Amino acid sequence: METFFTTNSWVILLMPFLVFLVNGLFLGKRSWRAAAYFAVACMSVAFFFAIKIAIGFFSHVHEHSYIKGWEIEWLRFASADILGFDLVANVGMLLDPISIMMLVVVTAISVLVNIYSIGYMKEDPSAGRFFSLLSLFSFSMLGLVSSTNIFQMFVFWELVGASSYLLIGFWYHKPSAVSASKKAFIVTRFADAFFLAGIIAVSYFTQTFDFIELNKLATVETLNRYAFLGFGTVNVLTVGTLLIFAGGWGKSAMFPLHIWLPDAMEGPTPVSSIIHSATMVVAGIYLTARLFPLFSHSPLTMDVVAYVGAFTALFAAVIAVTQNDIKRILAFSTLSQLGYMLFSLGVSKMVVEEGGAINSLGYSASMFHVFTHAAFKCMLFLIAGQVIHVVHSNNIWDMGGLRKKMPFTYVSCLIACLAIGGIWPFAGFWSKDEIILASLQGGHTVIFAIGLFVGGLTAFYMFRLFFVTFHGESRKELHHVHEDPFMTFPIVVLAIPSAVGGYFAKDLFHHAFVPNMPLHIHELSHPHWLPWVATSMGLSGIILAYFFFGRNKFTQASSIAKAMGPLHTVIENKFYFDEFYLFMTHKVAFRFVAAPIKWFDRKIVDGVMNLTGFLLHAGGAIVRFLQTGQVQMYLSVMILGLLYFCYRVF
Amino acid sequence: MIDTLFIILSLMIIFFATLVVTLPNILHCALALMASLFGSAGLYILLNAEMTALAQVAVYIGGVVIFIIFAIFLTTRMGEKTTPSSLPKIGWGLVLSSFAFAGFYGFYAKYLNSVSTTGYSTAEDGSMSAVGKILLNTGSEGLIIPFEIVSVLLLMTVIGAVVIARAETKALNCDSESQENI
Amino acid sequence: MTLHRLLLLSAVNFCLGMYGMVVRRNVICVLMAMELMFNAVIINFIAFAHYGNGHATEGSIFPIFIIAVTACEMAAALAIILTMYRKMHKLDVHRLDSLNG
Repeated sequence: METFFTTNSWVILLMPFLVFLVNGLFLGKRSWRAAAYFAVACMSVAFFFAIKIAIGFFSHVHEHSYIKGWEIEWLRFASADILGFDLVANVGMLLDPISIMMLVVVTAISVLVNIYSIGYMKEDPSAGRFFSLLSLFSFSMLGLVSSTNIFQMFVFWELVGASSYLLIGFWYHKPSAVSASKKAFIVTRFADAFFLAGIIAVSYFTQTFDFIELNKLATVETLNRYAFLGFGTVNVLTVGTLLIFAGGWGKSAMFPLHIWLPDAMEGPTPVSSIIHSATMVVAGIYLTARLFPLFSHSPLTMDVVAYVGAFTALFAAVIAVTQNDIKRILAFSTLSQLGYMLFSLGVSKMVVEEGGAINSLGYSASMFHVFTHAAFKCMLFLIAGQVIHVVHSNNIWDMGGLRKKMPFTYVSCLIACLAIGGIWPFAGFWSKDEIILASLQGGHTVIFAIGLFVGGLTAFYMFRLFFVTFHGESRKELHHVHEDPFMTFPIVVLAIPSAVGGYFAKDLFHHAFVPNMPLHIHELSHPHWLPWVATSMGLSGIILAYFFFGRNKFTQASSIAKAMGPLHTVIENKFYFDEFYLFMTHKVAFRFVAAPIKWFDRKIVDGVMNLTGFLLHAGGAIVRFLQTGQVQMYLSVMILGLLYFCYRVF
Repeated sequence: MIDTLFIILSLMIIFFATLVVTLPNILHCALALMASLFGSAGLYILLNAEMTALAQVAVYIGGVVIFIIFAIFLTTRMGEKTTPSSLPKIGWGLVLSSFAFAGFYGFYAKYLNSVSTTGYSTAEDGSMSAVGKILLNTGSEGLIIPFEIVSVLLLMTVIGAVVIARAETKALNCDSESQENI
Repeated sequence: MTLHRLLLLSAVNFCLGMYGMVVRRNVICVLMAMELMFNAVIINFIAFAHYGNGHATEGSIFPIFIIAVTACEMAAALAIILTMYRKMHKLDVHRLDSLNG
């Protein structure tokens, strides 16, 4: 339904960009406080627009599957009268359930994180720059989620990458922050190269960038017709979707490109909470969901999506159990939850059905989990920032006994941990339960088992963090412990959706968030034992965590860690993946790829250049004797030339 | 009578021009140049170019040559001889200029068929009033614009000459360096 | 007095100037040789104005421009000569060889 708010949806994009310009150019240097209030005010306007659009859209959800808020032609790569087909990149805003959901989430979290940052950044001398960059990120992310076509999405995709780079390296005087920002940038750029290749491949064959066109059945048929480089079994559809998915693979930090996300925690904590938990890292899932009708016709791509997601969920959860840095635990937990969202999309392709029917539950559960996860994971990061602000350390073993000193934070953290642990009736229960149900219905038994097990593991490591941080006795002398109102307010606000958001939103997600494609509607089994099993997995995780960490004695925990021996060390060092990459790049890539190329460059390319230069120099040495500098000699030569000229002419 | 005058003037012009390029004393050269230019001014009157002859005497002899003489006084001591040129160079110059003259001669012999002795212009054609009417005419026949451009050119040259000849007080070090280089 | 003779006179004058320009070592002498060449050109103009058919007045105006431009060129040249003298204390053309390769 077209309303004032949908036609003027550009305001949502304009507001953060305006903040970026004004704060970056004028306000940031004068007064960071004015910059912060300006950012909060403008983002609130954007949030208001997003909410109004959401209400308008979801109250008439069955009238349209999407609305184009506005769209203008931006670049015309090919036109019909010259090349016989049109290839146009537009700029616009596509409003459909998932993009509206993301608009609401991003604007809401932007407002809250901006408020939080007023408290968090108040001692930082360059806080003005922070608020400017944060708005740049919000702008890019909003542009990404509301793109009408894949080309526009790629542009904003790179913009979020750039703003993430700037914000991770915000404290650029810290070498670790600089190297972390470079790492994040290079790893995601590596994946983006595949994304771009995928865009080119798909748009070459379909001659369109538009999401609506790409998701049509005709596109699938077109792409299915072409074999990829002559391989009979592998067609362009599979290769193109896999390449496009590779972009999301890197951006969502799926295994084995996960290495950048834990290091990205070097940035300020508000940045981690908005970029590296709630919004930017779900861009990969969002991309997969956005092109879901296209992806779902390639069984291989869907299997890759499912298994990569499931493996990352397990892998990251195992690592998270052993970490000691509070932000790193949360980072690995984010990875694990992103894995959930991703395999939920993958398992929508049912293996038991002939021809692979689509179970819309997986899709809606994934989007549902994006929504609930944004709330509770953002909140957990904000809590982590608050705790770090008080303790001045990232190590959870330096904390402890904060329960009495920070009551609001304590209660909020409990809610968030229950939510992520999947305990009824908190938000995470509903979304995670649906994901696991979808994998069971799809017939992916292995993934179903992983999902259940990781659910318990999640509860265990989150409550390990919770008990060590807030219970027991304080292990460090703490002065002036207080809860900054600016920082507490967003946490308390986010506690509401984390607690009850799942219960109230589940019907909406179930009905409105279905992929825009013909579905095979079947009466699927809905086992009633599943919620009980899932909750009991979570509860057993919590009880185990209490048993090990809740009683202020960690002897059992350390003895188990000792008993595990080398396995524990390997896990604690994140399976040595960073070392492996360093080895691969420094020892293998440098020695066997870069060194020969360097030799070629130095000897052959430079050699040719030097030879040319040498020949010219030698020639010059001979010719320069003609330049005597004697004016009269020049004159005589000129006269001779003239005479010869006249002799030839006359 | 005109022919006699012509021969006398021609000989005078060539004789003094030869002196200009051969005399060792540079001041003598300047005086010879003046004499040679006087000869050509006489020739112009013979050819009914009264105004040009006047300009020759006033500007060329009265201005340019006097200017040269000033420069000689500023840069040369009295009675100083210029450095004589080497013999090969003189030979080379002779060969070159005879080649050029042969070229001219050949060209005229080939293309100049009319040997008419009667001129077409009258005394009025070169008179000051006729020249002035064309030179200062603003119509399409007139040459007012080149005339004004020449005046601007003169102004610019004077300014440029002043700038070039101005004593360089600041860059003394550069001067000593450049002397070393030279 | 014929056109032919006048042109030959100017050619002699021109070649003398050319000889002076190539041979003389003093910069002022070179300049004076150049004046001779200009003079030869003016003689040509006047000769053609007289013997050519029509436009005699314009023919005698052009030399006036030449004279004016020569005066300009002289002024600049003498400024250069003075500067050169100040720097080298000698007006030898052979010493102007800083373009030597």
